[in-house]
Amino acid sequence: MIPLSWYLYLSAALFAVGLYGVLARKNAIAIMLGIGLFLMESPTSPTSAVGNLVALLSGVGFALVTIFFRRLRALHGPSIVCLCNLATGFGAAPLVHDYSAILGLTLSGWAALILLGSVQIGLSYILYAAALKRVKPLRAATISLIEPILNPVLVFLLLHEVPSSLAILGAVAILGAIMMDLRLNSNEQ
Amino acid sequence: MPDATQVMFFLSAALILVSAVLVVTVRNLVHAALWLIATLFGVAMLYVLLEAGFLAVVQVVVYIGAIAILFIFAVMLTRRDLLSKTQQTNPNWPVALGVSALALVGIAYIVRGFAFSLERTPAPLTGDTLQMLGEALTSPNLFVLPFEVASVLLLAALIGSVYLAWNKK
Repeated sequence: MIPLSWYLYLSAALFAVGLYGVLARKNAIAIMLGIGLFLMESPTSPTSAVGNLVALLSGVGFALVTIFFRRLRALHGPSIVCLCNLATGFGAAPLVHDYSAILGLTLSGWAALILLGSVQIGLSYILYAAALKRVKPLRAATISLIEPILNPVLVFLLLHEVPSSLAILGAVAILGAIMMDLRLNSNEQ
Repeated sequence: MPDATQVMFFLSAALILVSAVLVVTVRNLVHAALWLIATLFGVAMLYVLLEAGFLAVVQVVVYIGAIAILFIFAVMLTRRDLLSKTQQTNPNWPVALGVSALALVGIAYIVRGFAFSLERTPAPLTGDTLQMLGEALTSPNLFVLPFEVASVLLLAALIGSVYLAWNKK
């Protein structure tokens, strides 16, 4: 009689050995970042397969955005950003169920929407495109991973919601990987 | 007192872990590939313990017979310097050791969280498992779509490797 959990513990040990092999033999910062992101996902909350799939797709999409911005760095950055976001808007428009909520917005609602769109999305993407003219794509994507760490910090400071221990572990893993990446590769330019 | 299958489990687990540690620590890459074969053989033993005879055979034929041999060929044909006894680890191996230990503790913690539902042995399948597997892979209600997606992925990898190896004049 072999309980199922024994197999899982053995798999975990084998995974750890393989992880050590990948990390020690090559400079595979990306895998460490993956673990960090994995840990930041709290297992106590009810998760769904669809949500994880969407998160995975958005990660792949972000990687593609980074690569294409780097490829198109000779072009005018802000116009590419405008074009991309307009295309996203038209692509996402059929998914909206109820337009009455948008049409019924008050003046302050419109102001907040415009502020969020132009500052949070527009400005950050323009800065990202500008940075990609100077930095390699992997470096840019690595540094931008600080952003999901800052979100729980801001929530903690403003709303006093304590992040889970696994989230803190994931944040430590990401920060450590970024520090290591910067220290190891700072002399390559 | 452990029964016979548990003894077999511990033996194969020890084989897997010891040879896996050797895979990532020995300096000669051909030796590492040979230890990888031992690891894969231990996993095949686990499949036998789980009464998945077909998977065990596939493990031996595909992984040991094809992939491990491919590794050895690739090492021998491409990089002669990898055969030397130079240091194969990079300077941040202590960090890697810490991270993998952290990953082990994290995964064990997660497994322990729902271990109460796992203190049972999975029930063995009855009937012709090979036929059931074949039907599951080709049934539209089950796994035909992932199966076809995987075949397209392999085809893309095939074309990509041919393109990379193409000798452009």
